[in-house]
Amino acid sequence: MEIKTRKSGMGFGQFLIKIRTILILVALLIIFTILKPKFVNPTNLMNMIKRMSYVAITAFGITFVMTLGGLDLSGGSIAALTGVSLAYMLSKGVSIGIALPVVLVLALIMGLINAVIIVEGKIAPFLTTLATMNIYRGIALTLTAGRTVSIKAKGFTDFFGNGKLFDFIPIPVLITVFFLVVCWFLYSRTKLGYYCRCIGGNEEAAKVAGINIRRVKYIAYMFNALLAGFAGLILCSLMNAGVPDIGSDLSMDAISAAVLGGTAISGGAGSIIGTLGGGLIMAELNAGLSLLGAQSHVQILVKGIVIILAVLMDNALKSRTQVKQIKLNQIK
Amino acid sequence: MKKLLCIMLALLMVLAVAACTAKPAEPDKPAENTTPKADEPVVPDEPVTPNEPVEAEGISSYYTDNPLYEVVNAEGTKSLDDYYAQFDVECEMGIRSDGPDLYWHGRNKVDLPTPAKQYKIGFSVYYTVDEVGAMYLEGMKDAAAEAGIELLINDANYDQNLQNQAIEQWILEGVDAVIMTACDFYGCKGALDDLHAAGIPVITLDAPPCAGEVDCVVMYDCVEQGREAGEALEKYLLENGSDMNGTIYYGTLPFIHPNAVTREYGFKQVFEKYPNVTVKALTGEEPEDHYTAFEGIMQGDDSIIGLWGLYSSATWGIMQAVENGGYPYPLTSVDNDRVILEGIYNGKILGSDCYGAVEGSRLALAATILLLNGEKVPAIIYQGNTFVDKTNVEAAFEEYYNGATLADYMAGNH
Repeated sequence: MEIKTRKSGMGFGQFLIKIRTILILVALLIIFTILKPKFVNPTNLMNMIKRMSYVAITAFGITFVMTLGGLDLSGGSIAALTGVSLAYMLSKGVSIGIALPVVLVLALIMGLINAVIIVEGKIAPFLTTLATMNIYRGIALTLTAGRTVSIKAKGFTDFFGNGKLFDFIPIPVLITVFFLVVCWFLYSRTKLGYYCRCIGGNEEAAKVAGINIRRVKYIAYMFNALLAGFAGLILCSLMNAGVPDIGSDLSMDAISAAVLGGTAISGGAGSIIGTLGGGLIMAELNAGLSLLGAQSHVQILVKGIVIILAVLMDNALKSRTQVKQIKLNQIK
Repeated sequence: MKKLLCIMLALLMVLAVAACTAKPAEPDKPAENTTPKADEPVVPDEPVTPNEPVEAEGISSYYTDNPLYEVVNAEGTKSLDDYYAQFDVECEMGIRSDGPDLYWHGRNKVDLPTPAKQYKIGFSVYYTVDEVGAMYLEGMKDAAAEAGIELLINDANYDQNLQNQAIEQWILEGVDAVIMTACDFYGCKGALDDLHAAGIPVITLDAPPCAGEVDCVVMYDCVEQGREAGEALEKYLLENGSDMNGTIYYGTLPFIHPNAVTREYGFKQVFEKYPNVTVKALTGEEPEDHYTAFEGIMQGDDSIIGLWGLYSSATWGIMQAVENGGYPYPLTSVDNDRVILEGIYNGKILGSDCYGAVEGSRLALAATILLLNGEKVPAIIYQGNTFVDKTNVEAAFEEYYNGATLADYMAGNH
């Protein structure tokens, strides 16, 4: 069959599915506001975004990795080890000016280790990062003997976690916006993002097209780890401490946010703005269910259902597009 | 590229080895502590039923008129920093109440004071996917309904950020007070600071926070819990002719938890007088972790003379490993989940040091109401521990689970 590409008109149903992230966001906003009018209080909304900042930043990184067909389960452990290392160094009298770059380099090294094993060892990303997730977590626990290490550097905790601009906008929100812009630019306006989509869409074709697949994978995994490291800095600032067992759900939440935002698990497609939307959905669910006093069981259940619905919509969009494409080709 | 892979793997190994050989702060050696310091909580060794009412200046008559409250530290604890320092737990917290420390001997029979008006109180529980957390919540709901309190609830699902978020929301909602069981003992500081800035009193239940300030603490004496579990094991061993020569293994968490280190301390104290008894820890989180760890050690170590589960998941895993392997080792515990009480009834566990979650909720709510009524409350209220064995397990079950019976539970009627 001759395959032709042609820009086709989009049906209303398809359009709705396409903007599903926004629809879910608005629907949740309306539902929670009806149930609890305090939900739309600006301070509450700002706090809600602050609480999702570290998930969103991790999710921005995972979007690159998932788009090229990879996966990283070790983000939470990287965040924990970064935070713990920083707290440990500060507790030993190392200045923040030295400790900060050192832990960010450490995060990059963790990403490099992931990339080397995946690319050179040709081991599936799931298995590799499942293993390194345990290794990094184990190192964090061993370094601290399981203890939480408190951070006394108030300037640092204020900057990354507890400070506010104009006494209203939490600093983590500003950091999230900064990474949103950087990641959006890298993903949508540079070769890196384009190459990630190409590799995720068809790795063999990308290779034939001359894309240096190894290099792109290295960059993606290291960048992802760097962002997880930044998320760890925000987390430990919010906690005023380096907590070795923190962030155990971070990777899953970040992957969920990316999937909710339209990043394909199979690779080849995604969007940083969509991932932000996915993160906001998760944050809305957390904040709304919390305001309603829902128990853990319900929170877990509802989050699971929302993710399934989003993935079903994604699949529906894909299959409709494919059917339409085939019909168009047949007519042609 | 294979070279690069080898280098990276070597680097990974070096990192792991470095972490393993790094010398962390000495964890399992609490400092000598025979004489409690002035600012440490003092808890009686043996719970007694006092006949004399509480005598403490200025404190609410709700406490002074009730002979089931006993003053254990008339000065009142202002901070738990020194107390936890003994166990090598970093702590920088303060208690604002200048009342005394009391010990409650009345178990679940906590009368609630009458609120001066209808208060709006937020209750954040760390988790409800364990029985203690679930019973805290159930007990608090019932108590609030009984006292006519508008109760806002947050189940933080063991996420300190969610707990902090809920408290931020409650500040916006204008709650009169907050009761919380902290998820992370340091991470709750932000929420405590926010509450302090907003002038909202806060009372903690269960393990107290290690950072920030609170108005009053409701807790149990974990050293006593560990000691009572140890004494039960010691008694069994002596009665059964043990030469007190061998190893006692206990299951604990892989990270530092204030309740765990204090329980460990109390347990180890019991066996200090036996030079040939070694007490060793195996770590894990879920029951299956402990099952695996104990199944392995019981196959490999013939010197075992006894076992202890420091908390319910540990006991559960150990109990199953002992049963499935057909080992004869005696087991004691701390915590009172239903599966533990069933294990005691069936003779798989000698006994467990238990405490009432419903009791804790009622003690915390009573103190909160009094505080909001403008009365002086204790700094620390210790809820009582009870050692539950086969003789009292059925009564304990009914008490801890709001009248439900162990027989019904074992018959599958939950």
